[in-house]
Amino acid sequence: MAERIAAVLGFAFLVVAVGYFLRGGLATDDSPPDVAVTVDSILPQRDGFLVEIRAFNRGGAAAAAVTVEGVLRTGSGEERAETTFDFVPARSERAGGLVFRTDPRRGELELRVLGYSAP
Amino acid sequence: MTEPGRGRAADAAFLRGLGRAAGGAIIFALPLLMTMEMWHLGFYVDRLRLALLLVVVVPLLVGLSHYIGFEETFGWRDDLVDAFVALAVGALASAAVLALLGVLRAGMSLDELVGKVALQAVPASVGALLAQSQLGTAQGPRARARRPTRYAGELFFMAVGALFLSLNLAVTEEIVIIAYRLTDRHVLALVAVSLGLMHAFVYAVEFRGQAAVPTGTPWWSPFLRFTVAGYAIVLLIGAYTLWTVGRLDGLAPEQALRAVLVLGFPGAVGAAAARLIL
Repeated sequence: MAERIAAVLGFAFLVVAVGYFLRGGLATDDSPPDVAVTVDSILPQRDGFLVEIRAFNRGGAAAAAVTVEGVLRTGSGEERAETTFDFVPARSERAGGLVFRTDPRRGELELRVLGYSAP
Repeated sequence: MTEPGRGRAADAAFLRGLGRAAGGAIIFALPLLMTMEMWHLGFYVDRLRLALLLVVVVPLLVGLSHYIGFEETFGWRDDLVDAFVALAVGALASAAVLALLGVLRAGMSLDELVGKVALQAVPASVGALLAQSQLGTAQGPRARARRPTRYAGELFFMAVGALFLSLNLAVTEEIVIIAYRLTDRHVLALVAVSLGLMHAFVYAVEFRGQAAVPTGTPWWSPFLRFTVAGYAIVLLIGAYTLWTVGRLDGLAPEQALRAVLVLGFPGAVGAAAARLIL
């Protein structure tokens, strides 16, 4: 009895996984990576201000080495910070952080994806 | 299952077997479960190739169960059941370890989660079936004895060993990097050493008392029948695994061939050792 349950589980796993991959593989969603970055939170730290960010890829392909730049414009000038996400898979998100010296809440923060490479 | 008592005893024995299978799945798959490239391949490997790999592994598991399963099998239906049990154990064990290692977490798409688990389930389910031959020594004299094998069986063992080691290494970036770095002479030496090792194992199998080579056979007969035929299987499987994980994509044919020959070295060791170990 236990053996049959386990075998059915394994068979179900195979059918679901293969069916799922076939659907994904045959679907025409071969759109390129489409990564957008949003701010999660801003935390004061010893060395400045940490901006926790989240990169979401709503494209149909994974992106590797996704470089993200943040530009902070305040009255006194401009400050830049950047980071790289190793991978952002299709329809998935990854978290990261940018560090600024000035408080981003007192200026205008712009986040932008600079580029990526195909994995 | 007519008598409830016997059914329960059979279930208890089966659950012990399941535990052993889970142990085997984790032991054999742990190096890959803790390999970064496997996590990444889980989401970017071509979906159709991944589906094909899962389908291909089923007859392989059925064959393994036929020769060495975690239960004494009667007929191909039992072997099929065993194969699916191994797949279930492999998938569950992989998912559990990946979750434990923080590789599976919230915020990942279903596609990523299923891809990561399915890819790892392949080596893990092979490990689950191998557990019987490697860990199941407490079952008395039968446990260590596999079925007598004919020539096709020997080739099958070589294929399993080659697939297991090829898969372990094809996913890493090193295979292609080594292929870039080697000179043509290095590659030729690697081919010669691969063939030499495989041939040495033919005699090692003989030492184990299986009489793969009857006395009086000229040396070139086992060389052609086992070593060369085995090496051909190794290269085919190496090419298949490299293609599956996308390592051959965009490579010039000559570079692709080098990568296959480099992977052929561990593949040959795996193929040869499988005949000795299994």
